[in-house]
Amino acid sequence: MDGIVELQRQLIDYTASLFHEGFLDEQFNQLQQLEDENNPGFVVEVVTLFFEDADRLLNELTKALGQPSVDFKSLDAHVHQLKGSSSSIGAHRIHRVCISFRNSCEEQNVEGCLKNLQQVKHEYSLVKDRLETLFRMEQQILNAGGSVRR
Amino acid sequence: MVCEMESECIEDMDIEVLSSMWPEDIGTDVGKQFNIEKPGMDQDMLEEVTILEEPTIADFQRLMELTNYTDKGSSQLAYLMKHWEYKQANAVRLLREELDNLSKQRQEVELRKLEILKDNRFEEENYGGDKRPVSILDEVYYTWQDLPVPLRKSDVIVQNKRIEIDAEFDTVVYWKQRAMQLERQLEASVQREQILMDKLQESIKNLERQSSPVEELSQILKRADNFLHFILQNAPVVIGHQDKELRYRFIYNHFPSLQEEDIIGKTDVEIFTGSGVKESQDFKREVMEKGLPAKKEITFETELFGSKTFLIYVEPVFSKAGETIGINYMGMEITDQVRKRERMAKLREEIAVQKAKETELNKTIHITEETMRAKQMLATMSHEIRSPLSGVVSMAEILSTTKLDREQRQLLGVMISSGDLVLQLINDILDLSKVESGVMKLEATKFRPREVVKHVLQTAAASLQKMLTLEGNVADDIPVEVIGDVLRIRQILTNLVSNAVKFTHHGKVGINLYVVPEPPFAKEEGHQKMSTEQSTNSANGVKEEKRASTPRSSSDQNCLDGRKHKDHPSQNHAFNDECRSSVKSECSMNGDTEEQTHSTETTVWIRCDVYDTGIGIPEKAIPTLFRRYMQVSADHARKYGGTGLGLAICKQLVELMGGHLTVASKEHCGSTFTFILPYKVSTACDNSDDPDELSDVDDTDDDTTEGFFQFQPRTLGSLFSSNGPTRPQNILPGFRSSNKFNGFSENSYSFPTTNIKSKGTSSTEDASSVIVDASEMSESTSSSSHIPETKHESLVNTNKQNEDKAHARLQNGSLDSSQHKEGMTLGTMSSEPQQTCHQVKTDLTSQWVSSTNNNDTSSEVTKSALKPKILLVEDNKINVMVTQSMMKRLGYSMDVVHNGVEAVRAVQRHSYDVILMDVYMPVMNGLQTTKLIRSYEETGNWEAASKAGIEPCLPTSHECSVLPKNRIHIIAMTANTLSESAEECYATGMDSFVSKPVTFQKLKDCLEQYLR
Repeated sequence: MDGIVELQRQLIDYTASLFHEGFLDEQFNQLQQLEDENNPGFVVEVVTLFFEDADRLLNELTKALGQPSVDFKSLDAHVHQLKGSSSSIGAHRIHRVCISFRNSCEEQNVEGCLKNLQQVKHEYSLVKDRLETLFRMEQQILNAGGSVRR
Repeated sequence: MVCEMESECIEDMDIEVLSSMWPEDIGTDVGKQFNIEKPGMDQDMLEEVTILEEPTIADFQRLMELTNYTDKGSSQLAYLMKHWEYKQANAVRLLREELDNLSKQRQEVELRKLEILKDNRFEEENYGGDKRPVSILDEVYYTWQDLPVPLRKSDVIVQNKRIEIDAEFDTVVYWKQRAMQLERQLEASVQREQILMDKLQESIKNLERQSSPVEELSQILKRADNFLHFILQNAPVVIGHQDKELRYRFIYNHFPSLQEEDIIGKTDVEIFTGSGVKESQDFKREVMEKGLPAKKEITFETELFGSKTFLIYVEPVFSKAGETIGINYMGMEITDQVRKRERMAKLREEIAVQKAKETELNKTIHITEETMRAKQMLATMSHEIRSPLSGVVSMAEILSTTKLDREQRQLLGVMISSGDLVLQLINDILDLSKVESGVMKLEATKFRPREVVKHVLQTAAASLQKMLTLEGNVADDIPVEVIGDVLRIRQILTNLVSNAVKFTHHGKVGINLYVVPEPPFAKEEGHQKMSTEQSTNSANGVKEEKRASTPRSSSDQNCLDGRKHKDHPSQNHAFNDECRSSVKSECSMNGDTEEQTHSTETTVWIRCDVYDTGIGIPEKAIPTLFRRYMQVSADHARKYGGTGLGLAICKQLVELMGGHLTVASKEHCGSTFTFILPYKVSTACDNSDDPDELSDVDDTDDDTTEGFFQFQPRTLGSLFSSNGPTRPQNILPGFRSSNKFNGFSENSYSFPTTNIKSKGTSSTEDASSVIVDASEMSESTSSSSHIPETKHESLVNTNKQNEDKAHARLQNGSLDSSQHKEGMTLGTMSSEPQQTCHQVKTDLTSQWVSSTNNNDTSSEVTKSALKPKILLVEDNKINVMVTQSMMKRLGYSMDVVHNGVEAVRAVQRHSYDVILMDVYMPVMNGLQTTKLIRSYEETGNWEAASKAGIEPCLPTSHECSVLPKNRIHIIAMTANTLSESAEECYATGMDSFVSKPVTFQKLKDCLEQYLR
């Protein structure tokens, strides 16, 4: 039981650090509140969906920016999608980069777009890593018979 | 003297032309440059010349007087004398020297004579041995060479003679001859001496014959006079001498305009009139009194020579005894210089002003830049603040759904309301910059001034930490409902009240509300404002009108009578419009007029005073009070904190709404902030039989007519119990239902007759019975905090009409619950949390229908029958997922489509109560989709959609052919919270918007607004 308490404490700390470092915002809390006994694993489900979606979108973006003539309109649409998704799950830092990314699209600034794409990818890999860790920790607690929601 | 001088000057000076310039014969006509006091005016100039040295000439007399009596004159005289004396002394000295020399010579000669005699006697023995020649005066003579010429003439050359004696030496003859020779020599010498003596005598005589000092003096004076004249002849100067009584004794004027007799012997004041004359006279007198020379610039404005400026130099003239006997006066005309100087000064001044302006401008630019930076920072900051804060608030909301005891709930209520307030304020601070940039648009919504006043005071009371009484007075003639931008008005009130509370330490803070006639400042701009308000009144006013103008006949065919009753309330809730008017006279009056004139709108000017008994505002601080970031003093800022933005925002907002904000204050006594604003009053009245009274009973809080609120200083334990001691008792339900008005305008627009009829018949009874139930029910629910979701099973088998009615009840119920909520958050009566209120609502519904209180489990069938139909239009899967889950959690289910086209199809197939519409979507965006749907609602066909390429669906289902029965509430979901985006949403016909990401709170607020 002590192990679980320890794990739970770690989870709390870790979650707090994610918020503190700006990876997540309160929207993520909203997601967590949506999870209940009728809807277990909701967060994981949504976030997994987000990962899939983001992977796809990042691919699209990379492809679009690799073209000799960039279609900024579709580029912008993709970024908008990513922005919406990240905002919905509370991936704060991605959301912010997306805002700047859209500005670059609006300015038709290829260089800025590439820079932003790099940044989005970077942030995405970071948040993905963090969230996966978070879920693993949660899973550990659940497996140990503890509860992850307070 | 002039002429005399002139005639002589001609010889000396070629340039002397004065005599031709001023011939004697015109002398009397034009006046002369020199005007000197004279003994008699009958003398002509020629005579003057002849009497050149006559002592009777007055000027000389005066001059003599002056030279005799004044220091200056005597010194001048002394100088001349000295000069003359020096010259004479020199001559005397030379003569004397000559004389000395002569006598020396004589002595020498005599000496030699003696020597010779001695020698001769001595040389008798060795006579032949040496014959030394003797030369007399040979060398001495030349020492006289430097003597003046006239003396040289008289020089005597003494011949050097050798004595020659033919006789034999040392004979008697020789001695005889020698003696005779010497005798002769002596004689010659004596003779010479005599000649010299004569010469000397003559020279002395000659010397005596030379000119007298007076003559020489006058010579010199003449010369000086000539020079003086030469210098002065073109100089623009006036020179004068005035005596003790300041009468002119002498004047020289280059541009004489007056005759001599007009000047001499007169004073300035006697000569001219006009400004400056007196001044100059006084100045002269002053100089005379002080005895010190002085200069002064005097501008004359006289008839004689117009406007001229003179620089005057005046010096006193003293007698030898030290008394002032007159002044010398010298003036130079410097009009041009003065003018130039003034022009220069003006120029310099202008330059200075220019420079000042420049610096001011630079400052302004600097400030503007600063402001812009600040604004930008504010915008970003507010965004940063908003997210975490909304987190806090929504967490608090969720916390309120859990099991809490009474006190916790109350505290939570305050927390939520405060959080909401802060959020609101952040938005409003952003709005301030929008107001300035002209982006800010006002919204026109119906609201109840009494409610606003009460809520503002309640909010203030809830967070009050001092022993203050808060009170509100609303005059009876204030309409129950007015139209205006309630958020802004509330913000202004809240700001002013919190300000008042902040600066008041004891006593009270209060709000007075009363109707005033249209103030003069608004006569013109008021009309403008009204028109703009009307145009921005898209969310509500326009909607109503549209509905009114929509052909209703076709819809009537499909809609049963009861259904109508269902529809209207649900819309009315948007305005928070329950009619809870009591027997107040103005209500019935409104009601009367309403039934005849359905849509007249009038403007009413309401004055609102926010007064306090606080520290007051010093008078000097009042002008800067409404400037941003300004506080009365740095001390105040330290002591009381705050940004200094509050009043600036208030003023901006009030002015934006076409009003005026003023302040009156007395230090240490208190301040009163007054704002006067125009509001529109919709006189449209409604007499529907809506059993709205539920709320009245439930609430026991008759906001509509209550005119006085007071919140006494709270003590621990009675935190929220102080509200409304003066609240009138509940009024009989029958009265209320018959006095319905104002809120349910659509009903009266569309079905006036039906309404009247229904009023008369069933509604009264229904309402009264329901009220009783409801009040009981609320009692029971308040004790049991959480009741299972719904108890609608009893409704399953009720007939269609009943169901519709039930729906209507349900919506009314939820309306009540909103009042519950407000009551709770603001700490008034009810402490029920929102969720529980929902239960109250459903309870009421079921009870009304079946008169039983079942505790059945929920069934999906019932739910779908009762739940509103919601459509989510969103292309982002994740957003869909999250929103859907939230909806589910809130107890609603909904349909989901992924773009505008699908949304149109969905609307064609089903009838929805609410559509949550993403704005930015592929295929067809939310704005376009909304337009199509609104077009359908107005025209009853999908032509616009067909044109847009969406082929109408086949009439496979019953609903598809159903014509628009109800306006769908379309809520935009936008990631962009900027005003223009919201404007766009409203412009295309959306009812409101939620910003993304969607949260519990936002969803709940929206649905509550539209699903009652």
